[in-house]
Amino acid sequence: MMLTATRLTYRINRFEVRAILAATIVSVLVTAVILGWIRSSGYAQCVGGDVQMSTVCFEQEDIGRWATRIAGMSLQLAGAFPLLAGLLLGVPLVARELDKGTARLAWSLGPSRGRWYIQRVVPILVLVVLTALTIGLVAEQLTALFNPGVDLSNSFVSFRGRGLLLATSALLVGSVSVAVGAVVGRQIPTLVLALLLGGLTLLAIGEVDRKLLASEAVPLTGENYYTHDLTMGEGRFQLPDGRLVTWDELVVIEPAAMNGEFNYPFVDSGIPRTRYQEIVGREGVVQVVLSLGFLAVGAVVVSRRRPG
Amino acid sequence: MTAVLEAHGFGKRYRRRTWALRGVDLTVPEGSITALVGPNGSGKSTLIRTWIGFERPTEGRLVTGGIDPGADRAAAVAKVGYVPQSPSLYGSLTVAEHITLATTLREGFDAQLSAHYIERLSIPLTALASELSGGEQAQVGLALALGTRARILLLDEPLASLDPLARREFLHVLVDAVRSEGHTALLSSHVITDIEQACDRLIVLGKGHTLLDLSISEALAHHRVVDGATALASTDGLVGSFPSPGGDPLSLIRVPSAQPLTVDAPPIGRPATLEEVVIGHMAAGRIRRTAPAVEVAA
Repeated sequence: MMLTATRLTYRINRFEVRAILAATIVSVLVTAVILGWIRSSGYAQCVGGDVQMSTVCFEQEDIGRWATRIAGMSLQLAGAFPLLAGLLLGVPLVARELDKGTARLAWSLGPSRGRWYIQRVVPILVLVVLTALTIGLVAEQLTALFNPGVDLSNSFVSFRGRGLLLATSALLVGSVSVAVGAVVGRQIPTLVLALLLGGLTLLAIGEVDRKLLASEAVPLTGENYYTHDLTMGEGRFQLPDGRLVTWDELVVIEPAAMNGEFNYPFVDSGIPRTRYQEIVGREGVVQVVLSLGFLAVGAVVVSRRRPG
Repeated sequence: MTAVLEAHGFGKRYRRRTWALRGVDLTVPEGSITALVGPNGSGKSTLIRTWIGFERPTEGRLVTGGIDPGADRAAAVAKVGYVPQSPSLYGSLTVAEHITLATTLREGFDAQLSAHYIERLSIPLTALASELSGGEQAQVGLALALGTRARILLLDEPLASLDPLARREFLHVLVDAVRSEGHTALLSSHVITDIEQACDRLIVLGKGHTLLDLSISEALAHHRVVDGATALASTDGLVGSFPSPGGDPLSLIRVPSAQPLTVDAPPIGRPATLEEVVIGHMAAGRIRRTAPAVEVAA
């Protein structure tokens, strides 16, 4: 029965489903073609940080320039995919049914609105997560292209722009869209509000995480730490007891520092690359928990509201 | 006769100020096809939507097949087949897929029965809902409601946008299903000929409450029409005044029975048609009872 309901849910939202699937497939194919050519032609050595210019780079320059440009654009677009997929699939899920009155038909046929909600939300959000995960893996491949020789499982290169976090971000935006749609019940206002709320939620998570990470920062000393570790942006002074403080904090602790009377080393601080998986996992869990919260809000609203 | 739909002191207020309905007391007996009529905004849809649990009463209570829909909406929905004014089908699904969808939403949905009614009307099961005419969509909505095998059917002006032939076909299916399955139906409609054709009971809502609640035969037997406006305002029998199709004023009189008067006092006016009964009561729901009287034509 769930399979039948899933098939019908995809049929009901067929335009959005096809659009997202098409975007994903095109992205995978384009990336496969570009990466395949770059690697098979030997042009890979001409791309990335440690470029070794060889005759291949000059011979294939025209095609290679286009290929790397497309790969770069694909990587940029991958970062926007969670917002795109979450909004496109999430907004119509409940809002359109309320807007068009089909929720009234479904809710009069089925005594359980919870069943209806699950039948609609689960298949679509699974699709959102799977497509975003695919795009996340594509972004991993593209990031690897531009960072040859780098262990991406232990590097903050393209942090939040590749891998698992794209999938959890898409889930979060989709869940926000569902919840807003349940409350508002109109498609266009839902799109606008979900864009605002989804974007703000992602920004807020990033900001909270930044503050949390700043409190966990340690001096960065590894090779190419400015690329592969997560720097905090602002340099810190390391006190004799090992604490890292900002300039503002330092002048409070040591007022003489205002006159240049201090001798603490200035170091770049941040999160070392070895914590990449842990940080990604932590942020992913936060996004999933928030997603479940928004979905619960949507479920409560659906169970109590008028059918439009 | 057992009542399957009941309203007891029911009131519904919107936005803290506007009362759509207030103090409504009525019952719909089991096995009947009851017409619910009233002017636009008289609260017909509100009443129907509250019976299915889509609205909550502000005061009083409703009963749907023995269930309080405000307390247990799911149980109330399970007792009801509902056809809204606009069937609102999924445009990207075929008719057959709507039936399949219904089976995923409702335990015991009778897909065969639903398909039977649709095929009887020559509506292709493979057609997309977006390709159907308004009448066909209404028929599909009715077939889905009948497929629930619910004992109570609530129909909220499903005929409003249909052409005469589509209305006739819709009512034929409805009456046939109700009579053969022993359902109870409440049909909200503005079209008096449809009510005459299909219904055996009449409820008129107006001014936020019940103006009339009788069987069709009683309604016809207890009302007469006289020419002129409100000359009999001083009598208790005046219901309301309204214009004839030609514009002349008519008044609806309520009498104790079909033969209220003796030979010495011949019956006044003429028997009222169902349309006049409905319009007279609707007018009563709008006019002030204390309006100045005018002469009745001899």
